[in-house]
Amino acid sequence: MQFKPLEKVLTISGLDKRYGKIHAVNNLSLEVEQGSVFGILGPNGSGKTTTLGIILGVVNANAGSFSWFHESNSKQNRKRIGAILEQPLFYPYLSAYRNLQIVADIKGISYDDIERVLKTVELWERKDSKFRTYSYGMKQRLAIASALLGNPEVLIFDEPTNGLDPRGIAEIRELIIQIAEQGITIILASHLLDEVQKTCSHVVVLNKGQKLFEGTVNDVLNLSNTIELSSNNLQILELALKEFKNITDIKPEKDRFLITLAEGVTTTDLNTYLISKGVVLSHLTMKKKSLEEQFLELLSEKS
Amino acid sequence: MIRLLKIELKKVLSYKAFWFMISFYSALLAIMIFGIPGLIDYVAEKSGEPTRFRIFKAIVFNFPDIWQNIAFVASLRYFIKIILGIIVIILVTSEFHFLTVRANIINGFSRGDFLSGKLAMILLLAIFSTFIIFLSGLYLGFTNSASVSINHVFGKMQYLAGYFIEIVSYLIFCMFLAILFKKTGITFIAQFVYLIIEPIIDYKINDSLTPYLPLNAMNRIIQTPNTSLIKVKTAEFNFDFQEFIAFQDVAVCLGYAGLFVILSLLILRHRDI
Ligand SMILES: Nc1ncnc2c1ncn2[C@@H]1O[C@H](COP(=O)(O)OP(=O)(O)OP(=O)(O)O)[C@@H](O)[C@H]1O
Ligand SMILES: [Mg+2]
Repeated sequence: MQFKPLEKVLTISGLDKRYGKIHAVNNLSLEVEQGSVFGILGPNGSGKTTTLGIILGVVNANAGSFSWFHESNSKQNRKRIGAILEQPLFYPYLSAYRNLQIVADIKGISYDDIERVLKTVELWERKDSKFRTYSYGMKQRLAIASALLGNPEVLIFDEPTNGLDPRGIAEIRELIIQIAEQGITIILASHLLDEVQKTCSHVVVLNKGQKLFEGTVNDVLNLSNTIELSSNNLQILELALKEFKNITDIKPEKDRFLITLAEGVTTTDLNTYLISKGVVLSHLTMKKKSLEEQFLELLSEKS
Repeated sequence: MIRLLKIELKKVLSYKAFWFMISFYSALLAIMIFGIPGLIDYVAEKSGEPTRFRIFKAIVFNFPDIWQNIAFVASLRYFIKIILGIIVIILVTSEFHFLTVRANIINGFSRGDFLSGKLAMILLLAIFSTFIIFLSGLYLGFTNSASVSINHVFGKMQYLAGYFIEIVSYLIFCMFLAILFKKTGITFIAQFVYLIIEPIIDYKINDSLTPYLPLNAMNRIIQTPNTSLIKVKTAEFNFDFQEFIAFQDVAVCLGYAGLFVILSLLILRHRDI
């Protein structure tokens, strides 16, 4: 892959949105680099859709600012973005094809691309059916097609696989990876953490409108690692572990211990220490937590 | 504006509610235009005094008075004009109902573009309506008028322009209500309530303020026709009808149109879509 300097596609600073008492977005600052696949995670009501609504110009923020492509916020910027926000939004009495014509007209692009995007989401055969007659999954597919129309520089997907069948979910995941390989920036809000782990390069975790964590997916996965270890003499092992200051958590299991090391401490350090104490290990593995486990941990820490 | 109009037309291309209302409006007008002269003839036969009715018909449908008469009837605030208002309300509230206004903006419309699109549709509807009134006037005039000289046929045609201004302003008022209330039902109710309460307000306030109430202003350009029929004055009925279009009335009407456009834009800008 050719090397590109890391341009910022989107900069958000100090964004704030209140709905009465509810603080939907709380002083949020973010930067999204060109070519990254940026995951936005957070429990229901954490402000994902509100944030995306603000940067797409449909929700007015109470404070803060954002800029696309280093430019002031104009409708011109939105024409370079393809987006799904929360639910498919189309004219129910118009066919899929006509609906996409309207999208193309608004974006100021030709109709030539409609066939490609409808084929991508496997709706080409149903292009003349009225949107109203589509099944929910088909509506969601049309929303994806609409976002892809005209090869935008940035794609925003707010729960794109919502309502899709398992094959559809797998296909969209493939599609996202494929699009990301073309260097297109993707911003993805999703509850399917497995999906985010497989597709995203960066993540931000929101809770109650606040940023809990921001970094690369690898950063999150390395936040804390569990080590599984065992010895022929579990009692001696336990005593030794309890004396070791660099362990933040010890969980005994039937024939082994699950421990978490403090930051910066490696398994080598641990092993050297145990050997010095005369403990011989029969088993030692590093268990990487999944994004899902890390996510749940992050949330429980803060609440 | 033409680009926005094309998009708006594409939106309504297969919108049944829209075409139903347009057909309803046209059919109602056609029934009146083709039916009323016949009806007058019929009543004339039955009444035993056919000459009186024939004179009435000749006066009402006579060039050039026909232009003021027909424009006056078409712009009556409780009459067929309301159908056009309902069309505009549906066009706007359906976008809020289906959240397609949101889609439009996400795809690259500004809020001003959305408004301009609707204004373009209003202008088109007003042109359509004025054109139909024009054709109807020609038809009624040529079939009933005594004189068909160019001077007579095209005299008083300024009342068509007056009609156009009145209908555009009224439709902008309807659009404003639709943007304000977003829901079709509530907007309809709001409009009908206002149609009822404005005359009450009018009754309560000082007469000098009458021209400045919004719906009054949108109905004053074309004043009650002053055909020879009612020029007859008696001791009790001694009143001069205005026989021209007053510049001030046009200005107040356009002022309201501008005001409602600005208010609509402010609401759209301030609100989450
Ligand atoms: N129009 C609105 N009026 C009032 N409150 C709102 C509105 N939109 C969102 N909220 C509130 O703002 C908060 C954030 O909502 P948002 O839709 O952004 O959450 P989310 O992270 O997208 O959730 P989900 O995972 O369920 O999609 C919620 O508490 C929600 O109730
Ligand atoms: Mg959401």
